Amino acid sequence: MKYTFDFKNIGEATEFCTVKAEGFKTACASVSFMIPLSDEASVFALIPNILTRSSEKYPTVTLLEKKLATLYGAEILADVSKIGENQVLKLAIASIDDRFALDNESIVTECCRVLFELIFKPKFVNGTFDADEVESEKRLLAEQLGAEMSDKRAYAKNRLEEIMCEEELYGINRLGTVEGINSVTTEGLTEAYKRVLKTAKILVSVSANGSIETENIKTLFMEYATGCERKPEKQETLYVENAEDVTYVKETAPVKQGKLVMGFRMGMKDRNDDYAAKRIMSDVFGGNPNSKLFKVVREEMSLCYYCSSRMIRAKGIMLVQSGIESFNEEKAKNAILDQLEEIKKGNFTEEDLEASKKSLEDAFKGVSDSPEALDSWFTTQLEHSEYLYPEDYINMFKKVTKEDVIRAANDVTLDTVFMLEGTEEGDEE
Amino acid sequence: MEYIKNDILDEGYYSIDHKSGLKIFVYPKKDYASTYAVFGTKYGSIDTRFKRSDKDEFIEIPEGTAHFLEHKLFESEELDAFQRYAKTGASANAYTSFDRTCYLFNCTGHFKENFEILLDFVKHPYFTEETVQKEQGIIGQEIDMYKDLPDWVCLFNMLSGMYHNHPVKIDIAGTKHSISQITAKMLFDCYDTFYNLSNMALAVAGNVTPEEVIEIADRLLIKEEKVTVERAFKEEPKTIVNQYVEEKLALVTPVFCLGYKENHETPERTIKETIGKSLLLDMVAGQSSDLYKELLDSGLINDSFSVEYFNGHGYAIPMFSGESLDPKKVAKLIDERISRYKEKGFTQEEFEIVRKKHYGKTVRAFTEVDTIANGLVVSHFDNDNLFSEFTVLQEITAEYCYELLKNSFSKDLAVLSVVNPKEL
Repeated sequence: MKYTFDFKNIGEATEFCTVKAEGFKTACASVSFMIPLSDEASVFALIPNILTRSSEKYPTVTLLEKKLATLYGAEILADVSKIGENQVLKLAIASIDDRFALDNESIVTECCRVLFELIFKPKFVNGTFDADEVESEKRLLAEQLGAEMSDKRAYAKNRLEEIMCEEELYGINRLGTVEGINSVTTEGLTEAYKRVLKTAKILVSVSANGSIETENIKTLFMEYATGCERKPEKQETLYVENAEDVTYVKETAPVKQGKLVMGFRMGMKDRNDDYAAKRIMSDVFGGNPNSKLFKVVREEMSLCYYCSSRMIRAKGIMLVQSGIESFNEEKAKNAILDQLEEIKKGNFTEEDLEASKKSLEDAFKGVSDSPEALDSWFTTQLEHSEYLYPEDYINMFKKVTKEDVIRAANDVTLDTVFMLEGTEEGDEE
Repeated sequence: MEYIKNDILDEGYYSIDHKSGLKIFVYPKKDYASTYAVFGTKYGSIDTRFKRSDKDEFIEIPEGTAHFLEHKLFESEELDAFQRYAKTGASANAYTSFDRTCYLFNCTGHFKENFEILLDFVKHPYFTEETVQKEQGIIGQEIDMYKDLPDWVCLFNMLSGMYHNHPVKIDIAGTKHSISQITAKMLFDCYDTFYNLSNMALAVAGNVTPEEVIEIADRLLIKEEKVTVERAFKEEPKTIVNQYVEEKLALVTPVFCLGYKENHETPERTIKETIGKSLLLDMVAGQSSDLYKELLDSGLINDSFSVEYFNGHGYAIPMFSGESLDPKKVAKLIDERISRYKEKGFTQEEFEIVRKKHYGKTVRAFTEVDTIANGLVVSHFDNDNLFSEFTVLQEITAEYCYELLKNSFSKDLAVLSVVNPKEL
């Protein structure tokens, strides 16, 4: 869809961007706070949840939900993610466009007001968050971490990052730890909230139909944000170019399927270091159904249902994940490394290269069709305020040659292998 | 060709009875970059006993055959479908559910080539004993993966506690044992029965015109004699099997699933009943309900809690699921709340709140090409139209929902399934 993107600085390390398209029938607004990833991750991770639970104006979850229901089921999203060695706290709201209002209400602006209300006017009791709500949110976050431990695929990936980046901040889970969450106090959380408003880099994003007056929404945000003392802090992500030797960790769990995760260093000095070539290389290796890992490890060798690679640009690493019979561990590991060797030697075709470029191009072009996808596209670039369009990446990828991919593969070194061995019998044959 | 539109939504689509015997839907979204196409058959995991209208005998096939066939259809004597899509850049996939199998792609360019690939590979099966054999390892791993997923296991345990015979209780992918019995011949038998164009539907949504679609369909689809399928479900007793089912897996917080078996005169529920039940579920325990807050505040549920009216051919279950340290207590509180509602009813305000929420959700659904295209196929298989849900939501009343409530949520047909942590 045709859209326009606009971006303004509206204060110290505070940015406001809008995406507008005539064709949008829904809208999405978000506020992202980026802070350095640290051993205080747990307390910060609680902030999006405590803020979206209630506010001064909507003091209980029921009253807030009722308000959202009257806004035609607008949905609030609270999210915590990691971009390199920064933690991003994001609060968002998604709604339908004003034209569908049954009584001509301004749904989108009202949704933004609710979102800002939640962020800047929390329900304080004697100057702090409500102690009962804090306790409740601590339990919920700890249970969310628990659910990620129950989901063995997520668990294995988290463990790999933890082990591989033990000496780096990146090894910290975006939600912190259960112990960290349990030790949070009401005062501590209140103080952390105030610190976020002061020190975070802030990006406000509104993606909506062209008819929505986003200028008013910007003014509204600035009114809510008035009085926030600002002293932004920034953290640069550490890039480790090469692995020195391979760390191997194995754990067991009473599950049927084993989970193998392999972590590689990509030879990057920073996020722009030969990025396009590395991105395409990771895709040819294991990013789509035409890739080496899918074709060989799954289709030819029948070792798994999934085996794929993913590049994490913001840290310069690549992860390969697969679910296998535990006794096939060596076979799978060797097969994965063999496929990487093949790329290093140039044993892939121009067609494979084209297939990766085309699939990335096709996927990137589709970003423009929904406000949510565009919101996420631009807001994940807040680390460097770069705000490139999908087309900019497509053009970058187009220039990548076979030699570039071979070079990129030769920069890759295996750093860590994590194996979660299943001790249960698989389903009987 | 018929144009079906909704003025309020300002949306519309073409419904085409193609000369080949296939029902085709085209939903143009002219501003969009993407186009999404889905080619589906009304054949899912519950179809384990059936016969073609022109045959005498019923065939009984192993559990998981529909899903197995889905995997194998991607193969051909030459390039498999994934390799063909690799030349265009489309993102392609397929899925099998309880009652359908669908093949799809999403693209922002080369629509014509992609669409040709889709029609071609779905209509050209290629199964050999050797390739069937090879797939067993891959699907075996898919089965193991699901057997480790607490939510999935919990749902199927609930279904097994509820249904004596209905095949909704069997895992969509089957078991390693059942899939080891699948042969190439069986796949052909199933294919010949269910992949007849009269049992299928094709929907395309996005940057596309009906003319483009019809031109390619004209070229690639050969007219097929209509085949009807007779399905034979075993008689299902009105009772449940077990009111409580428990299993242990490697997990942290216990997972639960509470369902109420419904017995109906007809096998399928109307869209109005489905929406009515969904609104009821939201009033009882949705996020804007008092019960939700009570459960949350007392530490009994977390964000994973959800409600759903789970239904299909021959099964219908209002369902509550999530994680809890005390699932039995949650079940008890839900049950009490339902009794109270049955006795005292609910307020007009409670009703309006959930209705508005569902209205907004439905409007939002018309912006996603994948939701639209899949919705077209599903509504066709249900003999409905895509805008029915929207229309029903405008007309539905609190009184209608109250009538529904009185005849469902029967306490003695409730099944609670719990997956507890395995001690290490």
